[in-house]
Amino acid sequence: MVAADEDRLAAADRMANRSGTAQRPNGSTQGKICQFKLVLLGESAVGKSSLVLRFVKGQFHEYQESTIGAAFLTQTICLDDTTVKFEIWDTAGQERYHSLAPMYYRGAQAAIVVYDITNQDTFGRAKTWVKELQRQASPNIVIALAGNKQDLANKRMVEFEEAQTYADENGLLFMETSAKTAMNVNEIFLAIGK
Amino acid sequence: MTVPHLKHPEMYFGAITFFAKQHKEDTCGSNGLPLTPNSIIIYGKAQILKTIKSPYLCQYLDIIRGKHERTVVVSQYCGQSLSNYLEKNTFTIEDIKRIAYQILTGLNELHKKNIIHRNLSSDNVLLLENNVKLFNYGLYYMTDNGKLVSFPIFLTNPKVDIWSLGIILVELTLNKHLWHSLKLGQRIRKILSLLQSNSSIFERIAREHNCYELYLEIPQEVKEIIELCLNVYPQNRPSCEELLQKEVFNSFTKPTEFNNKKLCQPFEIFTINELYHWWQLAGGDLIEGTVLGQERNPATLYDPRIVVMPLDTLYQRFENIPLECYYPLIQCKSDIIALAEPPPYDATGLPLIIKERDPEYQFHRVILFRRLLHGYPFTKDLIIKEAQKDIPPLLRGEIWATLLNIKSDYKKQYLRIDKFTPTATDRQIEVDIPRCHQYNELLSSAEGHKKLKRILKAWIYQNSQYVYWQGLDSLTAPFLYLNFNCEAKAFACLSHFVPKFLHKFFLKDNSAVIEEYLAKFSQLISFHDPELASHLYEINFYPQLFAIPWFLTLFSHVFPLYKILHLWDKVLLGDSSYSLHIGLSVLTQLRDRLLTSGFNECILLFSDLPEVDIEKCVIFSMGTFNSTPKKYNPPRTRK
Ligand SMILES: Nc1nc2c(ncn2[C@@H]2O[C@H](COP(=O)(O)OP(=O)(O)OP(=O)(O)O)[C@@H](O)[C@H]2O)c(=O)[nH]1
Ligand SMILES: [Mg+2]
Repeated sequence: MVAADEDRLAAADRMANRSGTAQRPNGSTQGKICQFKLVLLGESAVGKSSLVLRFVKGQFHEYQESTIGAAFLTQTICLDDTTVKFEIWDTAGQERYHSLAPMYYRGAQAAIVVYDITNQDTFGRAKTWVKELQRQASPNIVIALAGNKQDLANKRMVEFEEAQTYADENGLLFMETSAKTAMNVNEIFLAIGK
Repeated sequence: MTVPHLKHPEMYFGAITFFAKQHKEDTCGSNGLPLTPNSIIIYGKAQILKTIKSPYLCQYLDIIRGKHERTVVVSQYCGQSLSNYLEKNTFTIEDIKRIAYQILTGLNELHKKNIIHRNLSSDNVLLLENNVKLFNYGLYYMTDNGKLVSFPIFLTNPKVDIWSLGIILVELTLNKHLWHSLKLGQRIRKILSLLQSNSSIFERIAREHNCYELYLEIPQEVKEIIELCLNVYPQNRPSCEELLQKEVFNSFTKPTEFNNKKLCQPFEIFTINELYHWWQLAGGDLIEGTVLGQERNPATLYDPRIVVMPLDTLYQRFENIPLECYYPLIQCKSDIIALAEPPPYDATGLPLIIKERDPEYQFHRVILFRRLLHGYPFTKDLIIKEAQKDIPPLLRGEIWATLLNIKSDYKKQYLRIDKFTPTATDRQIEVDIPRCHQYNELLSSAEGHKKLKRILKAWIYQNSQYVYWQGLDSLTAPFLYLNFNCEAKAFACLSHFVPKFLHKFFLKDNSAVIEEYLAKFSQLISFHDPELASHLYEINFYPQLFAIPWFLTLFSHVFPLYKILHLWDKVLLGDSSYSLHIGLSVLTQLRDRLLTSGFNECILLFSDLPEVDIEKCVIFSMGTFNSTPKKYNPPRTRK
């Protein structure tokens, strides 16, 4: 899956269109309904699937299976008088699956780029993702950076300040999260939703 | 009438049980995740014990995890313990020499495998006719030298077993239970007092038990052996090898006769493994057996009792199986002979799950397949023919290996491969393994993790044209699960499986083959179900979005193991296009919901795949596989 060929890009475009033409639920008169397409990116095993699972189902699976291709989940949240429907693409982290990513981030209104605070390499990979998004995704995409596994702060390899500075320089939302303890998980999704 | 056939004096089994050490609540590993329960580590470590086969060792049959970290260990248990005979029978010197020789031979095999019995006593040596078998020798090994349990086992030197042998020989020669009436503390004090003197320990024990006369009559060569064993300093005790060289044992045959490298192994119609399997299917209950041995000491978590299993239910259940069924005809030229065959046990039409749990049916299948496997490769066609009906779970690992054409030199091949040099892929493998089918006890055990890692590394090393794609771990899992005690075979299966069923999927650039499969898959849906195909097309629900893990891992990343096994039973009989038909049948099972759903509901269905009935899926996919024009299939791949 190295060469992102014509077919796949075409599929991506069709998907991107889809969110524009999505149907409204019947009789949606009370309040605004807002659909929100969001993608999670980041090195393998940093906890992307775990964050989504925590946000969507309030659960944490220690043996969370690895993601192949991508997984799709939704969650509906009421923010004041607006109903926000998150459509979340959780992607595969292994570098090899890279070429599939555009299919998911094209047309996304937001992205959460995740790294693992106990692993410096994953932070490097997160920066690469941010660059790619800035170059290739839709120009007004909202990007958040999540430093996950905050519960393992005693094994920290990436300093909070370092990540915060990087986020500020690049105009990213930034939080340290833990899918395990649920810390900042809802917060980061909601911060994006606003 | 054929029950006597089943009643082999060596084919009885018993169980022991103990509790693994519990982790303190809320303790986490360095990755912040809960620690693997000790009982799982034990479970994984104990598996290899099942492969030990020796006339002087009881064969391990099963390890079962119960609640609260309880472990039940089932093994052969035949005859009676030596302690049972003591003070009731007298043993001649010749008997004692033979027993000593047999215990030593058994111990020697264990020590060569770095297994220390640590628990050797006259309670754990079983005597059946003229043959002795050691029992419960794996406890120390499976608990990682006692680290995984809370009851006390110390010392790590194999020479402890030699001391124990000495004590058993003292008991036999004096025909006395030593210090029988003393409490544990008193016994320890006695033994410590022995260590302080310079005179012969054997002699002092004899005097203490008022057996000095008897002691004097014992032939010098036997005394010498006992004295050697009862040396206070472990380093001064001889090893098993050294003892076996002693002249006293010259009259016994040397162990070469059990050398399993013989040209031709005798064929056994069934072994204690099969008997145990049938017994379980016939409702055998490990809780029901007769309890032998001492009362459980409530102060420790070790329960010294042995539960011997009654086999009557099985005998009754198999009472009417005609003798001929033990010797099924597999190749028959004459109609007359063929007609004399008893009618086959009729299980047609029964669901697969029922067939797999029917003891009589499994009896017939296992007996037949054992014969066919024995005749492999000449019986390959027959194996395929029978496998099309169903595959008996007990023999699935071996049957799959023959269906995959594994050659007999697979062990040598595996040995030669570098599985240890670090590579750039290691990190990915290391983060994937602890997420791979971890609900399964074998795959989540420490041993399972190590094995999976070695197999994956070996595969990457061996296949330089391919790379590790996430998912290869899941693909390997069924093979490791089925061949847990033979990594080499698991590896060989994987190595034959990939080129046959997943050709090019593990190329660094696999986009072409994936696109091809996805395109063919779309065509296949259109061909068999135009209505569904156009609905999916209208809602932009493309196979790219959900089917990549299906085909890349042949559903092994999608379904739990027990479903994968049933699915792959058929995959192995098909070709590389069969996975498309499985995909079609999954869609078909969900058809009604898909047809009434929009994009989101459809994709959500596949993010969390609902119950798929695998038997239906298999029947349906075999149907479309056989009735679809070949142009809808991807090109045949390399054989
Ligand atoms: N201690 C701790 N472990 C976590 C946390 N989040 C995830 N994990 C663990 O980290 C491992 C990887 O998590 P996943 O959610 O599968 O990671 P992923 O980013 O989706 O990985 P890929 O699917 O391979 O890209 C799992 O074993 C999780 O249980 C966390 O916040 N704290
Ligand atoms: Mg994931």
